[in-house]
Amino acid sequence: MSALMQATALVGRPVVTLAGDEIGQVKDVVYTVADGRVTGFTLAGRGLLAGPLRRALPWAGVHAVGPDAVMIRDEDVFTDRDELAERTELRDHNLIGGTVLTEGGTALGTVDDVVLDIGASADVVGYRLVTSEAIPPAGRSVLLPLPGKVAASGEALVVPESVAGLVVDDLAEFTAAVRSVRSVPEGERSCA
Amino acid sequence: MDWWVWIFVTMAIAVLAAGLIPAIQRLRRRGGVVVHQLGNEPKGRSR
Repeated sequence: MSALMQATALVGRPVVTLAGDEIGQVKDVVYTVADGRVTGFTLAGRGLLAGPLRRALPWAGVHAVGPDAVMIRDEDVFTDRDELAERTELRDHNLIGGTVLTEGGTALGTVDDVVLDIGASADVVGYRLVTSEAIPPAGRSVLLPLPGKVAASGEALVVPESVAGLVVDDLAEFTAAVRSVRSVPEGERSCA
Repeated sequence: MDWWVWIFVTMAIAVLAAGLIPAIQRLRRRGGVVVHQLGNEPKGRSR
């Protein structure tokens, strides 16, 4: 069983062991382009003035992602932050605010959030966009389904032409849109 | 105080501020969704 969730909803969520110890809170959701999945979370300490922690939480160490906390078995699941992502990536490669371009060079809008399908893994299945003139009316918030793999650098995110016509307004319609874009063979996606 | 003391103190404050402001900004950076690139292996990863 899996559930759709917006990635920014995870930022700030407490990380708690099954023994009930609160270790910190989620700071960054780290998304690996190679497999289109979340590979883990960087962490910050608790409280207003707490800074980032050296240790990070790999996805394999997550016991459950609940509505109020990310549960882990115990403190042995942590890894070093540098194992998860480079410092320059953490500083410069935030997807939020990035521009989404089609393979034909049309700017569809800017990323407002990332939609995750959370089950045994956490797959990136779409972006929440604030639309440009290419998807009228401009400034609207829509959900854009993604094929399995997309190009993303943090500055520009490139998607096939065909997905531009599959934007939906809410999560209820989104599952069908994702199914539709993922059922198209990779070679035919840009020919819509 | 002599004029050169004021210059020294002002320069010391400027140097401290130049170092501290980026450090505070790094600490205060809000979380988000970070992209880890294909073939860009973080340092220290065991293979």
